[in-house]
Amino acid sequence: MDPVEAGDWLAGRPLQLVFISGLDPTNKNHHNIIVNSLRQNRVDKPPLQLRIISGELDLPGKREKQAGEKGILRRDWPTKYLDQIPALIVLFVDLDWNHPSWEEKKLEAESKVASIRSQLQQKNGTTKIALVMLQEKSTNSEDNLAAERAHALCQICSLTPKHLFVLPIHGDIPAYICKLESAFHELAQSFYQQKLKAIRSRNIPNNTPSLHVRQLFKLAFISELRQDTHTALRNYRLAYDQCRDTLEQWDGVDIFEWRSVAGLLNYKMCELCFLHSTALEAVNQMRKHQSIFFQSAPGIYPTLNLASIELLLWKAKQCWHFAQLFDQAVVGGLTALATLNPGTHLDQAASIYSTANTEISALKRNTPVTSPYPTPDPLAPNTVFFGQRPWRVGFDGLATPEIEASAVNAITQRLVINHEGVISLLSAAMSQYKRYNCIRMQKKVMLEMGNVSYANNEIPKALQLWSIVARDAALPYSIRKDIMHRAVWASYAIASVKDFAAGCIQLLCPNYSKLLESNCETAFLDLLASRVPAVPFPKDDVNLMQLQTYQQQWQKVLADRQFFNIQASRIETFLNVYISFLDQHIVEINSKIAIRCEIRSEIEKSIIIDQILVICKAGEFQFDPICLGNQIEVSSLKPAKIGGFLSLKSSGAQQNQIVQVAKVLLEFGQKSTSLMFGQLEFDENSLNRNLPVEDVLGVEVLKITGIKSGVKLAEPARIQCLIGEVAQTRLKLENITKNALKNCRLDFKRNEQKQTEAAAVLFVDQDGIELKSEFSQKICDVWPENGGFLEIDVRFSAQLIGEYDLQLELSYEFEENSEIRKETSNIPINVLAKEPFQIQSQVLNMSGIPMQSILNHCDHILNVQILSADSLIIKSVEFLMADVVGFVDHKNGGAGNELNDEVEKEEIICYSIALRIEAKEDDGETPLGRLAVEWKRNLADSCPVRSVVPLCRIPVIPCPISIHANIKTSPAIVRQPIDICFELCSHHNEAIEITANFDLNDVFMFSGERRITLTVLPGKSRKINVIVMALSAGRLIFPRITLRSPQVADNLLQHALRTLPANIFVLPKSKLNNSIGDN
Amino acid sequence: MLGVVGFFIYGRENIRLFDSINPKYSNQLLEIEMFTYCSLDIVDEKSQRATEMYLGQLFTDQKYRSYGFVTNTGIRMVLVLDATSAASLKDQEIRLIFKKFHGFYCNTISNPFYEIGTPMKSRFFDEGVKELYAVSE
Repeated sequence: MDPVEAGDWLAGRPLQLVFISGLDPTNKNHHNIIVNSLRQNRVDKPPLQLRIISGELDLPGKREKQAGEKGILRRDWPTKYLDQIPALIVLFVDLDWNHPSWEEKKLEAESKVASIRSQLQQKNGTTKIALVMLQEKSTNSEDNLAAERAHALCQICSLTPKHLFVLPIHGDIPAYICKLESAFHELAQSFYQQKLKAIRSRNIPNNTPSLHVRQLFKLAFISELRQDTHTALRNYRLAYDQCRDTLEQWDGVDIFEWRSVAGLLNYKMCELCFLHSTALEAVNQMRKHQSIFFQSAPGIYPTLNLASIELLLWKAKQCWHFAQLFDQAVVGGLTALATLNPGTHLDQAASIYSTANTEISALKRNTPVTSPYPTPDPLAPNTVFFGQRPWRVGFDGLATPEIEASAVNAITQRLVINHEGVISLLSAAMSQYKRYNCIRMQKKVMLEMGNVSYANNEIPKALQLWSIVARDAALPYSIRKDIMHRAVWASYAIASVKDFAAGCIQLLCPNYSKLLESNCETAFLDLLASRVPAVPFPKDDVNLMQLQTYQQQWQKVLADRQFFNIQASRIETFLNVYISFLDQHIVEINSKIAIRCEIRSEIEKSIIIDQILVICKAGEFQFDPICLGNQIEVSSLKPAKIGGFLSLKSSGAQQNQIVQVAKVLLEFGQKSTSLMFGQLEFDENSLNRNLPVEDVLGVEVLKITGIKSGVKLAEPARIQCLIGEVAQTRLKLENITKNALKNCRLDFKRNEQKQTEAAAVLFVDQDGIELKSEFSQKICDVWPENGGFLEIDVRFSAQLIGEYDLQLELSYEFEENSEIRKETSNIPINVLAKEPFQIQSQVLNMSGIPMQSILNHCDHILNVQILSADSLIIKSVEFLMADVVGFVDHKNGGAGNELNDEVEKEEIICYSIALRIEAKEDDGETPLGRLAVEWKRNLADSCPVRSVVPLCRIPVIPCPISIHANIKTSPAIVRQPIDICFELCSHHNEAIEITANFDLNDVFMFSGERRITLTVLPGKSRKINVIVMALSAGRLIFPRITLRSPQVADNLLQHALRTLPANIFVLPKSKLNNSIGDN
Repeated sequence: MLGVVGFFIYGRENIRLFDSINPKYSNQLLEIEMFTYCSLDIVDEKSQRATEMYLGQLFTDQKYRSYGFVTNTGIRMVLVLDATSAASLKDQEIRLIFKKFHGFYCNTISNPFYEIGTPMKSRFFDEGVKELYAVSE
């Protein structure tokens, strides 16, 4: 017998029943408004079920105890409180305090109340009564008349003031109704409180467990109605504990009833736990329930088998109910986890249900139905108690043996194997597992679904499910082996060519064949030969008759032409295909690519593959199949290694597409002629399986590019040069096209250079005469394919320093598809150019002291330092001075032609020259001019280069008067008169009066005018002659004079005096001097 | 120790490194295998948020209960117990079993000839499971 359902009342929360009387919504508009407000669903609405009644009350009376009635919970008891017995009856009357016929109306109300009360008393009800007066006017609190009349009304109707309400019909009715409902709820609460007291006060004779449970259940249910769910839960728990504690004492024939009650109590407890947001408690309760009642003995009533089946069905139902509750809680916002989710319970329900199905089928098999379904139906009567056996209604204990026997018969006949039920439970479990990401549990459910489908004789569906599960590589082989064993048998039984072939191919893998001994090799070969395949597992105990049926079926199937296509990615195969391209990763669009294919078998026996087809793809485009071979024999000892070519030329593949092998088809049999034609299809996922990428010979994917530039440098061209020199490099060019090239020209296009420095390079023209900014040279007329290297000398002169690439262009023509095409290739030359030398120039005064500024009209020395960047020969140095600069001395200083000065790398060489600036105007800083250096590399065949570099700029200070000193006596000898002439020269446009004062000195004896004042006219010069006699020999300080002039500033005069020599070298008086003196 | 059904060790990528099933339960091999396989779902879920190596009870059905342990290197251990046996192991005892097997695992991988990630065969484990099952008799 199926487990009993408690009824519809179990769904939803119990609501307090309130009857509304005295409203006439059809005829009275304000009544209609009130009714609508009462019916409105609000969030804060108290848990009331308001029912509008008219006419007579129909209340259930107290039940008379009938003989033979024994049970735990009456089925209709909860519905009585939900549908029939109200907690409160509310009477609405239209009555104002100042109604003209108040007295009559009062009596009318009284009679209505009395009538309801009398009906209640008849039925022994304790329902509360409330009176609502609908009034036109609102009552003032100080209205004495109202107070008086209210008191009178209460008295006459025997109501307390709490039960009398006034509702002004012109006010805010929804708000009033809201208040009224709260008041009704309070009154209803007191009704249920009273009920609880009444139930609690009933004594239980002999502590009868069933009465105890009944009382506790009633307390719990009324508490629930009272919205005291915590007390309700406590009472349900007490009742449940009572069931648990008396488990051992249950009468064998009443086990079903007790179990039903325990299930109901458990359901209520779990429901309340979820309601209280204590989901864990609910789960624990369910666990406890399972550990206590699921393990309990099924009993022997009505029969041993039926009791066991009934227990299983009950268990499945319990799990399902709990899963429903859990799911509802999840919908209500509970967070479930992979560990705790409704799926596990559904799964459990399914597995129990499945066991029940097995038992039912066993029962049906063992006890075939012989007698017809009994009449009258022993299962037809309505039961009084929850979980009561219908055929025992009215019996105290067992029914008569005949009835019992017919009941067993009826139950047995009514039992059905419900595979669909299991599958729907499993699908529900699967969707739950999917939600919580339990992949493995999903697989388990799938496996079970497969098993159930198999039991339900839906073998194709079962095979499909099994194949999905067996595909999971993480599943232990022991399980996969079991699945495959069943799958192969099943496909053999239904003579499914494709499934049987797929099964055999899998079982031939060593991973399976190690664990499961089979005859699949022969069977598979039989199948390929279109013979009835051998029995896959000859050792299994199979009925011979059945085998014959299978084989006949096979014969029938194989009489027609058969075809199978198996996706290798979905199964584990004993054949593995390793495929790769033997080329570079990037290939030209016109290339032909070699394909390497290796087929390895894991069985020793040779298998003939009739054809191997490779289908490549490039993006969406698919190439035509390439046949790699026919009649290929493969065995574990002899893997097949074959090759083929894929031609990209005019295939339809585009540039930049990725080429890869889309699939490889291993074909068994001839497509058009053979009776059996099979394809084993290896797609991207199953090709090169279990082969690390680094072990793949060649590449797995190719990228198509356009035809590559045809000429390239065999060795990179790199050159270091000095600015101005003619550098030479030899370009080694290589033809890498697969064509002969014609009309090859090498060009340098100034405008197409990427760098400015490169654009400034000058090339030596073809004749070697001129330097040109552009360059073009014909290299050869015909350059055959594979024609080796071409070597070309290029000479150029870098004009700017830095590292840069010269982009030379090599243009050529070639023939493709009988068309002449022109192409160019870039030939880069890397240049590192630097200055041949660095020049530093500075101006010194005649004493060799470096000057920051220079005095006009005075003599100075220009000194130039040349720091060589390489080993050079300086052939000539020429000072190209500015116009204002005049040379004082041409001979000395080192500059000149035909110098051939050799300098090493980073060596410095100096050249100097004496000069004088004759600037007309004092124009600040003056450029001194340039230096022309003719140099060449210190190599045998190098050409000279003339480099012109600027000299320094220096500020020129105006000098109104310049001074020179001449030693007239030469050489100067000690204690001999030395005649020195100071010459003052005016560059001023006015006459200058100047006072010269000779500085007396210990070293010299002096003769002449010590102080002299003279006037120098513009452009004229005056001389001051002094004769000194050196008292000692050697380098002496040059005799000094100081100048003063009112027209010229002192510092300028000081500056001018600094142009005088600093020292005088005086010779000792010697024989030579004597001889000179003598001469 | 009572009702020990089997002990399993899985690598980081759920590759099985070690498995042992109490000979007493050898006739329920498939169910135990499937149960352990499903328990790995819970290991995946729990190990993400685990604060210690012991994961506690993983999964239970009418017949078995499983407990999990994840080492710092991601090695997963699953202990399967009989849910129907009257006496059950205490949490502390289960922790001890895992701790002991963690030690055995360390000893086994210390073998220079052992290749990490391959199924393990070691006398430590053999003796360990023998002891587990012996006490369960």
